[in-house]
Amino acid sequence: MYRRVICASVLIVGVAGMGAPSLGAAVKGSVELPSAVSGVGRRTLGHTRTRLSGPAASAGAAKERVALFLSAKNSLPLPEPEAPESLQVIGLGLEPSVASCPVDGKVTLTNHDQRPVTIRIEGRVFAVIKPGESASYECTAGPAGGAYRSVKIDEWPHIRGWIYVGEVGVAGSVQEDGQFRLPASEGTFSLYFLGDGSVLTTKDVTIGRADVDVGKVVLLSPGPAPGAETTGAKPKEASVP
Amino acid sequence: MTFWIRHLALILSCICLPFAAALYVDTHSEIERATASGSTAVKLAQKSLTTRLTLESHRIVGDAIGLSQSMSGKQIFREFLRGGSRAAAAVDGARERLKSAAPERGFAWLVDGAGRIVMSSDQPELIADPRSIAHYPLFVETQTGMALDGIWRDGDRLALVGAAPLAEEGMADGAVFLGVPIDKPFVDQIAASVNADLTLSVNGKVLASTLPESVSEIVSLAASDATEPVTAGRLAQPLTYQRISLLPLLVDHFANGHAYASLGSPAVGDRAVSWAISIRSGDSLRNLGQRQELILGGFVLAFMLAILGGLMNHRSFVRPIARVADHLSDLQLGRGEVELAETSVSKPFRRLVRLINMTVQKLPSRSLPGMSVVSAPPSSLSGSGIEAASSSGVAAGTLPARDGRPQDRDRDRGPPRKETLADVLSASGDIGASDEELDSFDPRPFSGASGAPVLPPDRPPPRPSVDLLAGSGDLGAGGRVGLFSSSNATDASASAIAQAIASLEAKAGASGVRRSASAIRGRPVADPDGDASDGGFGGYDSPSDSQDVPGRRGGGSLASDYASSSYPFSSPGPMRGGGSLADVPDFAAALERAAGLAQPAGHAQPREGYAPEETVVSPVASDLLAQTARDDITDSHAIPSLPEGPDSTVVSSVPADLLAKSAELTDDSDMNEDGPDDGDQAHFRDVYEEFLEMRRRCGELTSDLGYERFLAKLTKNRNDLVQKYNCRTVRFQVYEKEGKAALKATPIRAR
Repeated sequence: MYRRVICASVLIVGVAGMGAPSLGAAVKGSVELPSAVSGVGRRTLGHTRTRLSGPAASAGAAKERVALFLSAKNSLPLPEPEAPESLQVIGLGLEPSVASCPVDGKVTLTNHDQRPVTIRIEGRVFAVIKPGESASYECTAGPAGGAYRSVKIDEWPHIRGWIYVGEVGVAGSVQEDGQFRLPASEGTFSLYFLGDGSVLTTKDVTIGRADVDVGKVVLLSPGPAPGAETTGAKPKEASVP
Repeated sequence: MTFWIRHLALILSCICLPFAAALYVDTHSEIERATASGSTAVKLAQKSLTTRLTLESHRIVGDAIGLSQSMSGKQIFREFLRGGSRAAAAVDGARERLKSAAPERGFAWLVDGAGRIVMSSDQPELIADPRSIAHYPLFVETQTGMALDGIWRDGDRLALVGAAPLAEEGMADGAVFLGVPIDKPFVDQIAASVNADLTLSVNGKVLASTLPESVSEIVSLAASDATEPVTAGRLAQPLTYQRISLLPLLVDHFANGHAYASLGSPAVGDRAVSWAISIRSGDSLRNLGQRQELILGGFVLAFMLAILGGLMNHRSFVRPIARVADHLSDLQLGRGEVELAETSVSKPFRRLVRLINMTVQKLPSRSLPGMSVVSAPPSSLSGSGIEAASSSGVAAGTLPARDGRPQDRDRDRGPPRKETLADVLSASGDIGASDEELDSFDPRPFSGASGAPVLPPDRPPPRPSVDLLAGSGDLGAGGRVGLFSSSNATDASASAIAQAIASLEAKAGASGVRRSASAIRGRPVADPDGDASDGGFGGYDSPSDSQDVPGRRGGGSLASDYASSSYPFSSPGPMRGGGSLADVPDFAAALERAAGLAQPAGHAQPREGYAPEETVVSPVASDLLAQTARDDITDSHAIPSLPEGPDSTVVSSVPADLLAKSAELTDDSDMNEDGPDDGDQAHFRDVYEEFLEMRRRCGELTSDLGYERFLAKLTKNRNDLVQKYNCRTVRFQVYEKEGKAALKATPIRAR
């Protein structure tokens, strides 16, 4: 009886080990995000502007949102994403403002506002999302070099967002504390740090059977996004210690 | 008709087209001026609009700052969270402040630090499910401590918003928003302050406008992409001119496309929102109708004047010339009236008609078959002594038709007079001298006499010599037809007549009708009344011009024309004194036809063996002359009873012996180189009186001019000319030359 149980356990473990030989490997690290550059400061909102007080305590704590994309150069089959990346329409803005997805992946857009919004991606109306509802954007292959796709909302023209459509790879995001972790398979990859409309920096990663920690990546203020209205921002700089 | 076509073409080119061009240019310059002024005005108005919107922004931001300061430092959000009576009091206080600060038709919001609208002026309590505007740029800016203005756009609703941070301990913590709806009343208020029309549109859709709906859409569309002022739209009230509803022309009555000068600009803070400010530039076109009325009035006036001028020209010149031309044509074709009433033409041509009538009067009636002679009333041809000829009644009356019946077209003009074929021959004779040469004779010291000439008693007085035709006018330097140059007729009419006669001469010359004088002179010519040699036509052909045809000096040109044009009446053959009608076979044939021996019409070629030199005119029977003699008592001519059939005057072959005898007689009596006879004396006396009259008229002295001296000089010149031109006598004409009286001599060759 014990021998049967032992044999069965060994068999199960062996089968399981043969079916997912690369599972468990991941790329992890942390990102020091740059402070959020207020889009308001780059635009003229009205005819007059007067300072009344100092900034709120939360004003300086806002950080730029960064998306990640691990682009496979040579790898074993990649794991399926646990959940598609999402963009939230909330507080008359997109949260986060940038998301990524591989080709044939999806990005979910959800409206948390009290008014319906009309989502326009790359100038074409994608969907009209009522309050509390979502819509999925399928990341099809686009023209060469057209990885970034703009997201706008007709009702609120100040809202701008971006969807980065990579080729084969894994999409991910950075948590509020700057930590990130991307599941991957064995192989060689390029890790993209994606800002609003532009790639902030890239890092080549080789993944074996164990996780790879890329360490802390310090990002500076992103450069202007393609087609962005803002000017005067410094070019992107990145350093990997 | 041609005149009117030309005249209307002239009116079209000189009046219609210039006025049309003036109308077009003026209208378009007005439109351009209105457009330019509208563009300038709209640029200025846009600056006013910006200033006005800035003031509005300052005002609402000031209100927001005031509200913010009234609520800052009170920990109002903490009070809300505390609950209890203090929280309710805080809510009530905040609500009252929001209500009092909210603009008319606008709103006031209280936003917490998280960007949630926790209280609104239109809601009495705290909002249970607050809406977040955390990422709205205005709120984001307020959390940096800035108070500012902007546009709040929620769907189709627009509001001008002033936002200010709520400050707690010097730090921004929440904000207050004041919003003024940007709607029709707001747009009207702003438009009134900038004195222009405004259109507010969101993404190309008109939200509010002071313009009519149809216009505002056009204006908004036209101005949306333009960086410079554009004109578009149409006026609500037409430009129609009250007095003439048709005006203004060349522009749409609603100034469609030019009504408004507009300039678009995006709203500050939201590029989807745009203002289009418009100036009603089409209103400045309202005086266009009045301007065009002046232009059209000028056009109508000029047009009417041109038409009136055309009518006057037609009446004064065109119609008389046509009438004279028709008359001459009728004369040539032998139909119609012989004379043309002077009153049938305008004044400038009456002298010409008088001259033509007098010339025609010299024609024997036989030469004008089928025509009635209407004697002209006695008239004065200055210095020509025509009065006597006209009043003599010779030319008056009705000439018999070809069938011998008188054509009494004007019975009041006197009894008809029948003339013989000999008259035709004599009328066509040569009168000889060059007017050019004669004109050079300027007997300045001479004096003339006016009044009726005293003609020799043995001559019928009626036929004024054709030299009068030449002499009564001022012959030109070339000795050509100067018939009309001194008259009141226009140069055009003179030129026309001169060209007509010249063409006739040319035709005659081309047909070879001219012959040498020696070949013509001396032929036996019947001259029953002894006046046939006075010369009927011509007198305008200078010797110098006719050197190639010496036999035609001064005469025979009209006869030549008769020959070349197959004139239907007969003409004699050899004419004494250089007449050449008989030289023309056609003319001879015509003579025969007229005499009843005519060949069929169209028989233009002489028959075989025809010898025109042998064609003579038989003498007129004395009894016929007696019958046609003028009755001195009744001053009328008897009408002979003519037999039916051809005229009794025939052209027939003359025996050779008769021709020879006639030639001898002609040679013997051809020249009269003796002194002046009684007729000459009377003529000289008339010339003297006429010359004195002309000198007085010209303002010259007459006291130094005695008749004896004048007579001596005239006689001497007469004799010189008779000897020089081998003529019978000389007739002098008084005329005005360069403001002075002058004399012109015309040799009288034929007897």
